Amino acid sequence: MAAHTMQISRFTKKQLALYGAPPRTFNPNTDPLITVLDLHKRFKNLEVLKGVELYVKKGDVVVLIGPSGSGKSTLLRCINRLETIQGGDVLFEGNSITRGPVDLNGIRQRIGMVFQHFNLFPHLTVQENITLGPRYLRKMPTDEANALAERLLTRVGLADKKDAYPSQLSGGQKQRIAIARALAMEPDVMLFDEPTSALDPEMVGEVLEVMKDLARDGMTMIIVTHEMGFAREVASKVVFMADGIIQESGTPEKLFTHPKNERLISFLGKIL
Amino acid sequence: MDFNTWLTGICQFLSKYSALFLGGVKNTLLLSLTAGVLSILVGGALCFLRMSRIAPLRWIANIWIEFVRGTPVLVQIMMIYYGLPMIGVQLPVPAFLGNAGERAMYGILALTINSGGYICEIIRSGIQSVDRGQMEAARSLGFGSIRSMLMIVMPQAIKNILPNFGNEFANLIKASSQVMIIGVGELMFSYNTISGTSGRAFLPLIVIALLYFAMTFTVGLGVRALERHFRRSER
Repeated sequence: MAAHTMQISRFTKKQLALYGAPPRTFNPNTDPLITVLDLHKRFKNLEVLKGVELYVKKGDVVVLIGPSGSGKSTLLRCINRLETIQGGDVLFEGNSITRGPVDLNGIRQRIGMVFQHFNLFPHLTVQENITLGPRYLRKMPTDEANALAERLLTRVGLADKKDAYPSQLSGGQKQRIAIARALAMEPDVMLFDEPTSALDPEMVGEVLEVMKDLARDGMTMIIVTHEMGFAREVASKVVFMADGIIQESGTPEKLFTHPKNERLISFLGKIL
Repeated sequence: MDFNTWLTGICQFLSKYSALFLGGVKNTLLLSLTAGVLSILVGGALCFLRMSRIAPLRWIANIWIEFVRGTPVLVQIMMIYYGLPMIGVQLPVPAFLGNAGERAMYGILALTINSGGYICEIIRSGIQSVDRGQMEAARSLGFGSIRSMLMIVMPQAIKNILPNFGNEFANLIKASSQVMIIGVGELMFSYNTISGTSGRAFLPLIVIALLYFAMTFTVGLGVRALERHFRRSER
């Protein structure tokens, strides 16, 4: 797999424009849904990602941990191309999302994103926030979309808030609505960018509960978080990043109880 | 001179020249409104260039804005009035401008170019006042950049943009006094006529000052009402 995909990433934009992306077959049961290859990201002169490789299979719950500034959030944002990258590649279902002809909006519809600061649309009600995507991008009839919103709101425990505006909600409620909004597009994978970091401590639990629920239902998730207990509980794979590279990765058991990497040992020593 | 004769003198003056004053007001409003509407269109288009991904388009917008902001309106008006005929540009004259329409068109064009630059900056800063996360959230749902802008960013930016449109319109009313220099019969031009025929310099000046003030103050009231409305609807 790696050798096969590495070859693709060597194609230049020009070559791909001339010959088109090489055809491939994607097997959802064996091939990674998301592949990150030798990813390099620079902000001006600051190199944030220095060659990151990551494979996420369907049903995986990958938790990214690491000190702030280690590039976790940037990596997550590169996966749905909210950031442009300087080197390497990101593949979704085996196809590059950074080179050649890409239906970026179509791919983003299949990648749900939850932000640290919720980013709910303040001029729309909770129901409108949730139904906006399905109605306009999926052409779903309004009553059908409203029924979908109601199901999702029940799922995140906020069925009574459908006519509220975001500013009338607490942080925890906002984040649960944001999760419902992302779920409304029925994504194949959900990205969580520090979903509980902007919350008051007593609201962290309710958001994590919703996320655990999602994980139990088999949702593929990539989560950047500082909640180690949560990581340990739900992760199928934990990835420790520092200085723009993946220092160590593996099962939560392996990383939390038998860490090998020096940086990871000192990181865990500081936070546990 | 006792008070009564003084007052009678003023009343006579006002009634004698009221048609000229009001005609000036009408033309000033006509000029400002036309230029105002056009400058919103021009400013919007300019804003597109200003925020374009293509560098030369951005340069055009930047040069335009810097020129407009860095030179006096009077100079801009005269450059349009003398410059355009020199390069052989004929402006179309719509009927509603009357027989002095051609000069008025030069005035409107100059004011539009001027005000368009400011409007562009108002729209841009309004858009930039909306949190970047709003755009990111819309894009990550799968909306394209134009739809994200229209459905998510603009409805929020408009709260910052509309009141400033009002302020710019008040500026436009004041700036329109300077098209007098190319002989457009607006309010300031009326002053010239009236002071020339009546031989009084200061009295008509006070009258037109009050008239300008009435116009800009009314716009200002509208702006403040709008701001109150947006603040109340802020949830």
